[in-house]
Amino acid sequence: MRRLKLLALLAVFALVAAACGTDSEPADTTAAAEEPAAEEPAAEEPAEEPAAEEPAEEPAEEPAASMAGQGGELLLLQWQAPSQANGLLSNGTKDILASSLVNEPLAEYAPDGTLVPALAVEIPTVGNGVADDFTSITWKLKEGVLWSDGTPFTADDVVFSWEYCADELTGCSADMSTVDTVVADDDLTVTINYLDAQAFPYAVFVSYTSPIIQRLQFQDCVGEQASACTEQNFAPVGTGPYVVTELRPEDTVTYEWNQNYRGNAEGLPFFGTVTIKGGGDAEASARSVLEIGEADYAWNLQVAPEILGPMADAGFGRVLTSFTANVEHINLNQTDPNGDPPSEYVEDGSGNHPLFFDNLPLSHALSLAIDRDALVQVGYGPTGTPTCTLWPVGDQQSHNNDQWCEYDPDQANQILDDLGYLDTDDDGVREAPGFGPLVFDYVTSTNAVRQSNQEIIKANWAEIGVVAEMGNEDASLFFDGTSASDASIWKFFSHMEMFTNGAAGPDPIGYLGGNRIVEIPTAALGWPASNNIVRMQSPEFDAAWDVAAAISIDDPSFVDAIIELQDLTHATGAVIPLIHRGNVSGVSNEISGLGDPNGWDSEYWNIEMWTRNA
Amino acid sequence: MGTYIVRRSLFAIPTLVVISLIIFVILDLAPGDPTSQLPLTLPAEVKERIRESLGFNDPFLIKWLKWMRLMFINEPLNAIDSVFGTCIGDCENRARIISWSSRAPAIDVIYQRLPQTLWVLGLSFILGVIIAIPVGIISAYKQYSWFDNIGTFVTMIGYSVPTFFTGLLVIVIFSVWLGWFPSFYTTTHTVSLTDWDSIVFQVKQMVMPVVVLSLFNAAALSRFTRSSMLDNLNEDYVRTARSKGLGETKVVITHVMRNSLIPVVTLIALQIPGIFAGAIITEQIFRINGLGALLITALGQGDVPMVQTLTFIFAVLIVIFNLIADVTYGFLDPRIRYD
Repeated sequence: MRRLKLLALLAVFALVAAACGTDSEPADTTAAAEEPAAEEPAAEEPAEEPAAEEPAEEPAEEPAASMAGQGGELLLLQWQAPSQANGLLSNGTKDILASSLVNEPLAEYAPDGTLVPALAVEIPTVGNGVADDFTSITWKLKEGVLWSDGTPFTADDVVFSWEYCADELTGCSADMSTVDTVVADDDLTVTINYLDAQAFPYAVFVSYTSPIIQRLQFQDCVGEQASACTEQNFAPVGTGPYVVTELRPEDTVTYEWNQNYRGNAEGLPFFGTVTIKGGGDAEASARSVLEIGEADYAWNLQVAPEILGPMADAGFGRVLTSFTANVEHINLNQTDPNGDPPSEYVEDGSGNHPLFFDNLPLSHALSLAIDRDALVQVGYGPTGTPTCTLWPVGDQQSHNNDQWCEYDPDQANQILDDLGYLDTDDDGVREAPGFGPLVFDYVTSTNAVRQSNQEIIKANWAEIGVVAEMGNEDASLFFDGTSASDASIWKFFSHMEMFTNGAAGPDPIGYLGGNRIVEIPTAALGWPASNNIVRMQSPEFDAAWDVAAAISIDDPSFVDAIIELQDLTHATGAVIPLIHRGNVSGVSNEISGLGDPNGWDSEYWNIEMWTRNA
Repeated sequence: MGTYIVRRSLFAIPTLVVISLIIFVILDLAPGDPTSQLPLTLPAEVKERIRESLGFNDPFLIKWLKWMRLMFINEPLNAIDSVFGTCIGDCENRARIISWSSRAPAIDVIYQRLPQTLWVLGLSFILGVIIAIPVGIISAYKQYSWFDNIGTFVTMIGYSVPTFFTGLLVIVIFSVWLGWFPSFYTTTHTVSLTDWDSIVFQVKQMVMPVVVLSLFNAAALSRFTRSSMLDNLNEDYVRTARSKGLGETKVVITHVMRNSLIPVVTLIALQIPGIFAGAIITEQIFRINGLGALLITALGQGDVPMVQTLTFIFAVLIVIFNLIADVTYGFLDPRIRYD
């Protein structure tokens, strides 16, 4: 018995010692970071006012005149937690969001899709920075901008950021493949030279996908060394309103306000510390902000509307939706998944799908049979609207094909009858001559909303005599850009796929260019993760795209060219657009200053302006 | 006994090497892409360069041998250096196992996660044991009494109802309706023994996950204790002890309980590695972000080095605690003799 007691005591002691011992984190947690945690109960105890408490604990360095950093703590929930804070080594949107509080690009996208200067003085235009032949663009930088360590920001840092990305061994996540060189003309002027003419020359160092990093900090971190620079990747020096104090991968990032930020004189940023807390799922984040009121902002709330709706009514917060170019759509495989090799595009057309390729009436029939309003109601609520085009952005949207996205199963049945796809053996399934019964496998990623939409569509199609066999794959396999997984959308070893594609920025040329024949992924090429996943083959589209790519975005004929591209895509029948999806976030009613939610750039793009109501 | 321990320990080494090889083969054959979470609009060449830079495309044997060297030589050296403040060999530039998603040394990330895992899961395990053993003993002693029936009922529920249900239930009751406790766990909170508020906050954020988990742990353990006690209560030596004139308490506590706890203690020793693997569902619900959550996130992101390192560490813990359980069993029960 004594031995037993001794063992038990030892076990308890060991556990407690381990827990207590590992608790004392070496020097990482500053006083500023400790305060937010102790302040958390303040959300539940109405008597405590975070703003009133903060000045007592702030580091005593702020200049007497500045009101910056006096606003207390801001708690942001990102259920997909950041892995690190270097925006150029990002692993996904979660990482560039974390970096967007610290590092800035030359210009940013405003919520309406227009460009707004950030580190640049103004947006260059043709004749004022953009070369006439569109092969280069010159940016003038703001004067007097400092890095958070006090050193001046110059054009040399922009050049270095390009060098960092240009090195193949770095593994940079920003796309600079169109750039030839980046040259500093003087301390405040930098010129980007492209390899070819770029109709949209603003793709590089614009938006949170390609921020500028400091040469002084990262100079030994280029190439192979990039992964070894954990300290730099976790706490980059930036020109933005905040500085990282501690980063725990896939868990928490804590920031404090940048005392060398150019907005300090105007009292920006308002909040003294920011914490990004990760983990859990979208529903838990929504609950924390909207039902409990224990956090201020929740990002990416992919939650079914019947759950999100009542949460939004609880009174603690509101739901923000921003619409960009995310369209949930069904791809009808233009190649034959049962061919040998499967789904392989061959120039002579022998690999094409016997039924879907060049069969616009069938595509119309399938589209007419879908009740898009039901899809929205069940899966998206106010965060989605039905659409009939892949580029539903403002005036550039084509409405020429909207009649094919109305819910009209009778017309669908009529079209199929006219095509000769009749149900000869009376089993409720139509047969196509030479093909057989209209039975298709219909695959998407594992996601509650997607599966409920699949069921609706399956039921819709059953009414016109088409059988869709539903399948779903785990997202990490479905979106696996290597050749390892047969489930990947690029391999497309099924008749139909459904997912959401979206543009990196409000540039339709770059986005729609993904539908060209040259962008078709094939086994012969080793399955690159290129963009023409549906294997659309339209020489007319390719020709029209070449013409459109040469038109400047200011030219009045640009909009018509974009509309034509959408119509030509529609004419192939390869894609059935379903829902125009918005990005959904939740914010506490205590927070103001956000403006419109930003879907084109970081949702924290104007975080220095956010305030808490008294 | 000594030779037994030495022999088992020596056997552990090839066992662990084989385990690491199996883990490696499975992960290498499995599909998965560390760039799958990047936007679809990123060109294929950019994604391929990222994969190259991570070492994704290296041949399988190279990857395994590299990882073995890092895991068995570099990482222990690094651990010794950081604990004892020494500098063995080239301590500045020593290569380490790098996680593909955070580009930080995998061991550092794991170490960073230990506090919350140990606090919450360790405490719920201890609490589970403290609840389970008395409940099991009394249930067995007063078999079929109201205590036994209620105990059985509660433990059945605790074992059958999944933690994602009980977890959500306590969140809805205590966070949403009553607002007593926070619904998520703040890992950056430090507890200072002189600061009462920090202690209160830590207790508040631990209460719900610990209660949910300890109910779950206690359920299985109390049933086992009960059946073990029942086996022993009918033995002849118990009747002898009673007829010797010993008091009931002494009979039960000193004689019966000691013997019944032998298998229970070994079961506890075998369950300790489970603390580290984490109760993944509970960690997810309460956003505790411990080791279990790390494993799931790493799997979803295709972060192979992190998954390999974590699963290997779990394997090491299981092997060690298996040995401890066997040795404890031989230690407590004089009838068992190893050689």
